[in-house]
Amino acid sequence: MGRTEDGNRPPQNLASFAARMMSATFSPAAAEGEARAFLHGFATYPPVNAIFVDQPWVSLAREILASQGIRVGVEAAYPVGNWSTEAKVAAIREGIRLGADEIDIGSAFYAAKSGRFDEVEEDARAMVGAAGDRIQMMVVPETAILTSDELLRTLEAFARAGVSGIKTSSGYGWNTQIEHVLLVRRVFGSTFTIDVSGGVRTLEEALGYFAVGTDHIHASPIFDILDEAKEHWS
Amino acid sequence: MSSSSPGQAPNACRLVDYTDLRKEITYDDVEVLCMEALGFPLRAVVVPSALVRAAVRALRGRVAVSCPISYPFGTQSPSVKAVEAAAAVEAGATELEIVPHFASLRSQRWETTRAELDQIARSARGATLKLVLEATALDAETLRRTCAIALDAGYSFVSNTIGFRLVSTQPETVGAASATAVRDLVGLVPPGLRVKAVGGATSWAEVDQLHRAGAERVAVLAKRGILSLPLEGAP
Repeated sequence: MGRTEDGNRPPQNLASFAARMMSATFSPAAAEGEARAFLHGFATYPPVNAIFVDQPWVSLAREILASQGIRVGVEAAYPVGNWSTEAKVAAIREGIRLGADEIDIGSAFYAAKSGRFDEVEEDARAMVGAAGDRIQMMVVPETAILTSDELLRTLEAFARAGVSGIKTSSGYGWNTQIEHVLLVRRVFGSTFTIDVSGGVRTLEEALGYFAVGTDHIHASPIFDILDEAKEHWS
Repeated sequence: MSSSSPGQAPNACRLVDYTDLRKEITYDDVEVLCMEALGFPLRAVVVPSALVRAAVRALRGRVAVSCPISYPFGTQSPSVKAVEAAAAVEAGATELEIVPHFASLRSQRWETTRAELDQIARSARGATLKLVLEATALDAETLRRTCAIALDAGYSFVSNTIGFRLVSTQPETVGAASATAVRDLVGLVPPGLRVKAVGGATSWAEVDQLHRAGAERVAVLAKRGILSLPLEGAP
């Protein structure tokens, strides 16, 4: 399955909606048996875009999800971040080795909050170099902790470094606001694929984000939202 | 603080891992953290791996620098953790807080865990190793087996929690240090392995309480003012 099927037009039916939704299961909240059950749960819905798992679970997830056309993602420097660039580059290379389709990875938040956007760019450039075209990489600027000026300067640094996709926030209380998507689209146009994460709990909220140009949405209560979508488009 | 000069610092200071893992931490925050740590002096400062070099520069060897590896969930492959550990040691960290792959523990894949802890230890080149556990998510037998593996692999400490919410939508799933939690963990660790208390300590009274329960290190979260409390009553 391609990553973006419909550009960023709002989805018009259940299948196109599901194809732009993502979710995750990470330990220690989930033991392996619980993760298996979670992954098998997608079989009764049209395929979602991607599910994110621990690196040691990539092969398990591929085994369960590949036949459904669901991509497998991993994360790094996430959800708290501020890992060394060396660690993040190693995580990207390992994601490629494991056969993950996507890696979502935190940027140098400490550098952005310190006003050192040259360091944000340097860190992003190293990650872009490691990912190449071998894995889809979405870099997290973390809209929830940045002022509008810091966000724009971070994204300017990303653009200079060659980042092509962003994931707005990490969730876990760091939530995205719809104004963030509007701001990024207004200033950067189609420079970045925009995935939203953090705080999307309902179908209505998801559709609101799609309406302003969001490409994909990560949601923890994924099955609740898919059930709502089923009913909405039935 | 009237009684905070290094010469008067009580032993309690040597228990404290002064910790700032906030996402929004800045270089200025690291400077302040280190200045405060030097003033006592405390045992270690704990910062994310990207900021180890800045902390080492500020502390000039007078206080140890520690950093977490694969924080907070330990979801990376062992090889990635080994790279982060080696880079942190290269940058000057002398202590590391290793987050294991919890699903392997919960699935009782002991050889997987042993291989992971060994690989990270080999990359750490003599650094003091602390294994970060999540006691509320692991049963007593799993904790006991894991601690035995950690001791074999050369780890010096285990801590009770990652100190971060386990479920994204449930803030209440953040682990906390309590005297009971520390005593329970102390009862499970083999001789030679020590316990670090993590989660919520913000005063000397709490440091004292956790120490009396058996903790030989206590994470104190850096917030301006916490360590400006009077030292009277410290152990």
